[in-house]
Amino acid sequence: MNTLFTVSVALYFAATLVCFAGAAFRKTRLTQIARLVLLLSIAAHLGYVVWRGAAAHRIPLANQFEFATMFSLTVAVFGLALDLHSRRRMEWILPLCAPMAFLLQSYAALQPREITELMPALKSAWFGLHIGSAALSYSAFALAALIGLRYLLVEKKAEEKHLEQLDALAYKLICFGFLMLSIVIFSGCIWAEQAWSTFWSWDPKETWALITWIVYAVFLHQRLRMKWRGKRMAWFALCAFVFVMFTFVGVNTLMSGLHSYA
Amino acid sequence: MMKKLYRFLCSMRFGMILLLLIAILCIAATVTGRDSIYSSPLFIALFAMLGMNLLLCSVLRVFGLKKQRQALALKALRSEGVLPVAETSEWLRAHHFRRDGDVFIRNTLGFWGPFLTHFAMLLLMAAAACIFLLSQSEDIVLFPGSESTLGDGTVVHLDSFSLKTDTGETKYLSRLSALLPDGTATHGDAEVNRPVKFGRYKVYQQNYAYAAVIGLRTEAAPEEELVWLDEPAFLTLDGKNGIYFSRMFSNVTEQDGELMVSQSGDPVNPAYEVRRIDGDTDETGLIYPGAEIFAGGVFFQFHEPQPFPGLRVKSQPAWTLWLLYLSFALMLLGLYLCFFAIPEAAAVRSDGIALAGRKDISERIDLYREELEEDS
Ligand code: HEM
Repeated sequence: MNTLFTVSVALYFAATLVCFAGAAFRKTRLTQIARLVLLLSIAAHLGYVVWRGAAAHRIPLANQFEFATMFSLTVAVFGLALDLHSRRRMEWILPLCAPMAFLLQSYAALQPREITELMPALKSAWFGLHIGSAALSYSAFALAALIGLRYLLVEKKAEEKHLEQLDALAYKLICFGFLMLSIVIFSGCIWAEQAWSTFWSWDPKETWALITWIVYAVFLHQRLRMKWRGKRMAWFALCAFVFVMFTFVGVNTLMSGLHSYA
Repeated sequence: MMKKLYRFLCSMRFGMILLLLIAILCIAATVTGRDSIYSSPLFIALFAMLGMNLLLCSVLRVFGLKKQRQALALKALRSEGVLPVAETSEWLRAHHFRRDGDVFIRNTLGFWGPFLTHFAMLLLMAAAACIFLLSQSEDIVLFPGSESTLGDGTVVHLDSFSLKTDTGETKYLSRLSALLPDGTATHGDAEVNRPVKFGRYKVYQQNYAYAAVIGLRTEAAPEEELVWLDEPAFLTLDGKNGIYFSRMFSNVTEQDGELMVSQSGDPVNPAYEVRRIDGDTDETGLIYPGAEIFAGGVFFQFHEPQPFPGLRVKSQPAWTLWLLYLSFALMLLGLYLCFFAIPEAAAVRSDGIALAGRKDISERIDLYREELEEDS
């Protein structure tokens, strides 16, 4: 079954190349192929995740590998869903989400991959909600950051309409990500009360989730009042994502605490 | 001057500054590892000021909600018709607009979003403060068969402790029984993620460690009595002769003829470091489980180390937790309303429907237009 994982990595790479080619040469045919390759990568990836869950008899979100691979999957699914679902054509999102999914999947590939028994603290009904919403939240912030990046890249030559669309979409994604991050934090509090007897213990992972939450909360207010839109919004979405990634990777590698499991 | 200061203290800008300062202190605390920052007066003062600011700046704005609604209606009435809809009432109904005086409004609940969010934030901080002030917790160590008396006289007794289930699954399980102050006897199991409630206390299964287990008997009392030790102790009958247990090694290995010892981890090849004092004899050495030694008239039988639980006992009024959970629910609802139930007002004109909403209403208008084009 590990081949399925390897296949998905390869397919994400292929999708990235075709997406870039499609964007560079502006060939509709290439974009259609890119869409198809991305769909295939998602299918392989989903197959792997489902197999892993079945093999481990649990939701496959218990360690850095499983979380990273789920993060990658949700980024790809989000991107493709936006592209297919939206009334307006959004094929420009493909060359953004395919490489991101590929990078995250490659990061996952570097992590230890064996299936181990869950440690007792992780055996909880809150496990799926807490970590599942984290994957959704991180991917929404990731896509917002990518859209911010696109905004900054095309700002000079794109039509006003397209820029407005980018801005609105990134804002929506940040709202969704913020709501999900709130769920992560609250479900974490309830869970921590049951497992460790206190709902909050200033563990680095918790604290960084709070820091990230504050950063996005401040942005939401700034946007409302000081009209942080357009270019500022794009820069923000991009920079704030650094906090997300630090919460995800940095805390695990640089700090130790109650959340160091895997 | 005073008025200006007051205005600043009530402003959203001040709120944002406070939030950022909290974030900066958190970063400093995690990076330097100085956990004392979280209990420093400055840190707590920032939260107190945030609470005050939230109350003044935003929660009290609930009294302005009606005005906000009127303002939106007025904006719609003053806007031009932008949607050339033929069947207006049908279109309005299909898009969940409800009549409100001269206009139609959709997502009326959305007006409550920011208020609910900020109120919930305030409630959350209040609940957290109550929990912090009203809860008490202590860690207790119980060996199987032993008991501990808690603050109000409740006696908790550990019947047994296990690390795995019969099927080999890891599960830290303390079987406990308790005698409440009113004389009621109860029992229950504490597992990780499943604390057990005894009267006003909740007992949490936290972790475990291994204790040295030594059986004692004498000629006169041949029935073995078990002693569990997780710290140094002198075991003696006469106060002079006996054994001094200093520590336990979880793994003793031999490498190149030298003994290597390790104190961490579960016991693999355990040994006890023991000093035996008996008359003129005074020797220190490693004793392995299974061995028996005699000192001061007592036979000491060394058994395999056994696991025992680390338990945390906590008492806190139940309502504090429910208040906290209520604040979570309200905040999620508030955020949902803020983000996904954005109020829009529509006014019907001869040339079509006029719309008013937040800044990005033009985006919505475009969507409605595209929808209309698709339909026709
Ligand atoms: C502490 C965490 C806070 C959170 C999570 C939070 C969340 C929010 C959200 C989600 C919105 C609506 C944004 C939107 O609709 O896009 C909002 C609006 C607002 N917030 Fe906060 N907020 C917080 C703290 C504060 C503080 C400290 C203040 C000021 C003292 C404040 C003042 C406001 C104001 C004035 C609005 C605009 C409301 C309106 O336009 O009706 N917030 N807040």
